[in-house]
Amino acid sequence: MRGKFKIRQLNKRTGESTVILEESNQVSQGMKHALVNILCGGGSREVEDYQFKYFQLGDQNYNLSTFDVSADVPASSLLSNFWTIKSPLDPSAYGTDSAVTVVKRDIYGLGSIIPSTRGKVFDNFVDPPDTTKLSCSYTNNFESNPRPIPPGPRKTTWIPGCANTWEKKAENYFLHPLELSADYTVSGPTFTSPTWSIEYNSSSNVAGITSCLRGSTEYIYNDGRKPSYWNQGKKNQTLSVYYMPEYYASSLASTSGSTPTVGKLMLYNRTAAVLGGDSVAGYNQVRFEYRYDLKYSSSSTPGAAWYPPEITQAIDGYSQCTGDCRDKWEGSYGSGVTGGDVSANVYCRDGAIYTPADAEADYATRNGPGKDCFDTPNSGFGPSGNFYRISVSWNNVPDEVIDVDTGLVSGIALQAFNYPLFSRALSINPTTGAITSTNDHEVTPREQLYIANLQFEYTPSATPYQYIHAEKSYYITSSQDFLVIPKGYTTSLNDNTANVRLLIDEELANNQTIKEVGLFLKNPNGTAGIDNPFLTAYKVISPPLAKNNEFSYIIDWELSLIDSTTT
Amino acid sequence: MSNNTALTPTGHLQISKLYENGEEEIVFDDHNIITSGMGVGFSHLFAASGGTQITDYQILNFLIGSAGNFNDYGASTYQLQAPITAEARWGADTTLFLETLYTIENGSPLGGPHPFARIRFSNIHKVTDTSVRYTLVLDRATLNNTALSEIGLFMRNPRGQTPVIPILVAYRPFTEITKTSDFSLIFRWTLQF
Repeated sequence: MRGKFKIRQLNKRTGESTVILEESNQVSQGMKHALVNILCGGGSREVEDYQFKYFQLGDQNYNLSTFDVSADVPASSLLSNFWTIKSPLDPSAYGTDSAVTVVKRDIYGLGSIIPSTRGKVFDNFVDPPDTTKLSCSYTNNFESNPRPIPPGPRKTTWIPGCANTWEKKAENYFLHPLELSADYTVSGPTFTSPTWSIEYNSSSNVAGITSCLRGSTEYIYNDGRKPSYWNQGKKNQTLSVYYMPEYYASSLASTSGSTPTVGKLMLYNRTAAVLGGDSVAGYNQVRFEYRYDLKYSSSSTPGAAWYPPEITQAIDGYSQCTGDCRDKWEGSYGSGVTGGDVSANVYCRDGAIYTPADAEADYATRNGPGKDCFDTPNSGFGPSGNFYRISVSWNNVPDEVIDVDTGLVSGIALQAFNYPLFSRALSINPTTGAITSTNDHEVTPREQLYIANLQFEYTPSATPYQYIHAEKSYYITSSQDFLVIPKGYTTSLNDNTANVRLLIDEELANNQTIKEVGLFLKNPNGTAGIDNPFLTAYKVISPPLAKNNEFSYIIDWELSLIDSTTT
Repeated sequence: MSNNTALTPTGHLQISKLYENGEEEIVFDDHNIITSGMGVGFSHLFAASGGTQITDYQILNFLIGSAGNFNDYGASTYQLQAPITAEARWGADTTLFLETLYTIENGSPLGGPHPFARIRFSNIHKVTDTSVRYTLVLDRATLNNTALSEIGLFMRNPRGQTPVIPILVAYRPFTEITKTSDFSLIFRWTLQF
């Protein structure tokens, strides 16, 4: 579907007509959904519901520089994946003297519950490519759930705590080794809050445990189904998270020992752990060290700074599975079948710090586009520059591992393990800032760290961050104000075009600066009662229209379907 | 931000032979062509100038032919090169439901008539929110001893006429296959918007 968009300005006094804009437009996601509704018989059965019934004017417009979903979203993400215009006018802005009818309708679109505390929100530009879709969703919502999780709407796929020996004790049943809370005081890598603050349980003895966040199957869809595993492993996959640890300066003897020192990120192959008879067979993991300048007496002292973490290990489960485990591995997967390639990376605002060659050299070298960040303080993401992104990739997984089927277990039952607080500093040399040794977590205050923007994707390396939705997307409606397109304003001027005329009369939206227009189909889902319009075409008005009662405008919109395939 | 993109539907056609023992052999796997008829059909819908039933805009028929030419097809294709013209050739025992219809060809409702096969609703699947798949089956009793090399999907009746007049909306020539009673021929056709 291609759109041509033309605006004519009509002078009230002279009658003069001038074409002030004639360009292509942007066809949006709603059109695709409507067409599939028609072909599958899955939406409205009324032809009228598929006609252009509404439009909106807005006083803002989308562009890359103001796009605030992600700091590093590429232009390619800004294609047709949006459902609302940027800033639709309200009835007071449209005015009361126009002949054009303003009505309130429930606009339909892709929705999100991120962040959960803000309730349902619309997301624009967020529908990910198929390769990044998950079988479980809302990976960016780290909210702690009570356990056991009560039946009801899905909230999160993340469960704090992997220390089974601790969790299984009756006295710990409703406690988490790791506690999470939404923190609105710290903006994340996308300059938005909240981020998720994580620390060990402050009221319980957690000595001797090392816990993590894990992608969980303790997750219930609205229809009551539960997934049997967190995600299915494939040939290539990458998990990435942004971290910002909190450090305590060396002179603060009472607290400096709470500085996080090491973290770990893992794509855990539960199937391999079962078949190998040892959990290490499933450990496809990276280990990294947080880096600070710890010579300073407080984090606010000039010079005190965060640096990008350093990768210290990237290893696959097969390499750790030895002895009896290796025998069982080969008995299940076949002799000579290995575990694929595990690699890691750290991202600062200049990009990846490591290259594949650096990974081959066990991360002793750094030659990626972000290599200079390594010695540059606060060179990460977010307002503070202290969020750094770390990724673990598990690639080239052998077909025998992907396709294994013993009758009892099969495939790769994948689980994400995130150990943001693997160890803490025991003490810090106040002169050099060096960490003298590390220890477990039995200190006050607890070590603390912020995490944000997790992304799982079936790609060999991390791609720019975007909100991730489930394979079964989540759609919502929200009330907005629409202008009604009268019957007779839509026709077909050519065999393969639909032509719509929009009238902005002299009394409509006066004293407003019009920067965008959206065109809507009436109600393609066939929702009973009030219409749920689909945004199907969008146009930025540039230069903007400074609307006043001296002029009226006629917008002629022509839509035609074309095939992009070449023979 | 780019504001100059278009919705560009694409299609993919996979053809396989399914033998009685369950063995399946893929014999063709490539993109297809969305023809201009798709735009014509939907323009009738959006402009409220055609059929009044949603089924008028659904792809409910297919036609198969024997003169597919890899050097002569494209978005402007509006007919098969050599469609099966005699209903008897589909086979006396075919399980397909056949109906003889005229077609819109090059803007005129004068093509045919041809014996069209009907696509059952049970063979239409929503794959994702933006894609739909048609599974077309020529069973072991259908079109035997016939060389096949082209296939087209038809929107049912965008002009809303009586009797219905379909229009070609997707087309693909393929490597010639001589159908026999040894196998069923399965066409898995996915349209992505």
